[in-house]
Amino acid sequence: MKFKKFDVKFDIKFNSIKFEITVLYTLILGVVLLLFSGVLYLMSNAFFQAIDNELKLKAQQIDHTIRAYEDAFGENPNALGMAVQKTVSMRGENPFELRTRRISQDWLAQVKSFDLNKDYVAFATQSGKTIFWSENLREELRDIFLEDIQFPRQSNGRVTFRTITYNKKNIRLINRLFVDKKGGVYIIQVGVAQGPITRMLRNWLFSVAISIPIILFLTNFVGKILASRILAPVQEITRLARTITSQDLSTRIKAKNFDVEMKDLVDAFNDMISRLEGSFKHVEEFSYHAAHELKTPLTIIKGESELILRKDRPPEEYKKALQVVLEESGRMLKTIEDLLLLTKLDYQPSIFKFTAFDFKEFLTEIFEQSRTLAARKDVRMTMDAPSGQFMIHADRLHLRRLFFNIIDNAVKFTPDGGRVDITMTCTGQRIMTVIADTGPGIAEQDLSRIFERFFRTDNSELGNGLGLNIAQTIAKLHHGQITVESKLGEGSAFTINLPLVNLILS
Amino acid sequence: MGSSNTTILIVDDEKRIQNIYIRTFVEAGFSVRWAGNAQEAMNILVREKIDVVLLDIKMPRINGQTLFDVIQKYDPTIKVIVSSVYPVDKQKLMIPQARDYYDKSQGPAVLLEKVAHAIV
Repeated sequence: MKFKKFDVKFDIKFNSIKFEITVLYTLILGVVLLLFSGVLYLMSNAFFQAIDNELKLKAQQIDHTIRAYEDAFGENPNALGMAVQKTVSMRGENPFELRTRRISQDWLAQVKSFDLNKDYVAFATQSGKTIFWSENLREELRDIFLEDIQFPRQSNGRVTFRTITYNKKNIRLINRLFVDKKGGVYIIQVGVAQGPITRMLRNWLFSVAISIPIILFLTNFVGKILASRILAPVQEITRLARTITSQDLSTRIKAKNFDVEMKDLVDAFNDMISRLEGSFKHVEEFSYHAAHELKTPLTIIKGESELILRKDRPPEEYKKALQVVLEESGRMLKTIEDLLLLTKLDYQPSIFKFTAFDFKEFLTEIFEQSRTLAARKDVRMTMDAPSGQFMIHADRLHLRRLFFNIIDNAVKFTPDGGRVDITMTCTGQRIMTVIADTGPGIAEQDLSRIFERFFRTDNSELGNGLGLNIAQTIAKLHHGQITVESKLGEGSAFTINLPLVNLILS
Repeated sequence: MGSSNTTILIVDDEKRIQNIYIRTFVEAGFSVRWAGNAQEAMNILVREKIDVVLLDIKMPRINGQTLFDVIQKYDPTIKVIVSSVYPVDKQKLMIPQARDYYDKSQGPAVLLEKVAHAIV
């Protein structure tokens, strides 16, 4: 039980898009920002470190120069003072010029290279009194320099650092312990004004530190909104998809203001549903018609049998009845075969086996075979074709079916004494075969419907309404088509249009 | 079973079905007329006295509903039995006001019963 409760609360979906866009993205950004600020921090640290190092160096040089001067002044009781004075003032005049000239030269060179005359230099006693200072160092600042001076151990060269803010300027100050030959403890102070750059850098680091969490928060927030916006159509599609059943295919997703990619998804989805709807309708109509078509012959068989059996009858009547049963059974079988063929044509066009053969030879063969059929009805058949070979790429078996369906129709509907003419021509890359009869023709309102499945005109016994549809389907699967011209009372002409593969003139 | 002055008009486009019903009615003693389409049916109706019409709903040109309405308007006393290979409840939906409905697959015996019932 406990475990279950725990499970339910801890419901983070790790493979959800929302998670990826918001949390993961924010995390990655956070890590990057952190690394970036880490680098910045290190860089600015180095920068400040450099300033301090320079100060160290300056203080050190001052230390050495003072000692050098001190040595130069020798036994003079005021040697230290004079040495400091000379060093701090950074000028060259002195009565003992010869001895100190060298030192002065060196010192001045260093002052120049370090830009020391821009810095604040002070020399103070350990007790906290500045005895020598550079010109630019005012009293107020001198006092500030002296605040918090502490040296726990008296060792020469020990340094500490401080940062002072004065008049909106930052001054970095170094304090260096100076132990004199005679043991006096003093402090050398060098202060460097940190220009606007360093100030900016400090401020900038601060802003970066503050903005990182703000950025991350905003990213997360925007990410959530984006995710919702992107996922809204997906959720809509999911919801709608659930409502679509084989009974109700009418719903479509309305593409509101979706993004382009989502719109594509929505359109594709809607199209798919439409196609499915079409398919279902097709299948529904098909089964409905198929059942109907088969029910009629069965009704006849049952009716005929029941009627005949009501009382004793002469043998001829039984024979006639059985004849009816036989024919209607045949009719049903043909219908079933035709339906199976149509289903295959609709859903498995791969049953076709395309080979190359001469169309004219093929047509001639069909013509010869149809003639015998027509002769029984006293219908005259003719064929006219141009010379040469006409190669086509087709499924011979099914093409035969196509042509026989049309020719059989023509012969069936043409009364005794009529004619059926087959004319073959070739224009460009197409072969046209016209099958014209002198039958009753087709009424104008029926013309557009004769290729429909199960459509029959008034002469209902002559077929199941599938023959022409099968022919047209086969034609289309061969990249061709069948068209018809007809007038009531003037016969019909069916034109079968097929692609030619190549033409060889004899 | 039937009286000789009851005339039945069979309207059906399927010749073999027509034939079965013609023989059924003739053997039962009815007078029979037949038509393969609406035009033929109307021709017969205006020329002769018809008592019962056996009307196939689905026919190629004019459908059964239209012809039914025409017959009703022409002579409301004519009893129309609607027939089809569709089941009876479906037929009822298509033509609600017919006298009776006949599913052809039920066979000739049932048909005779319905006709007998209709002419009472």
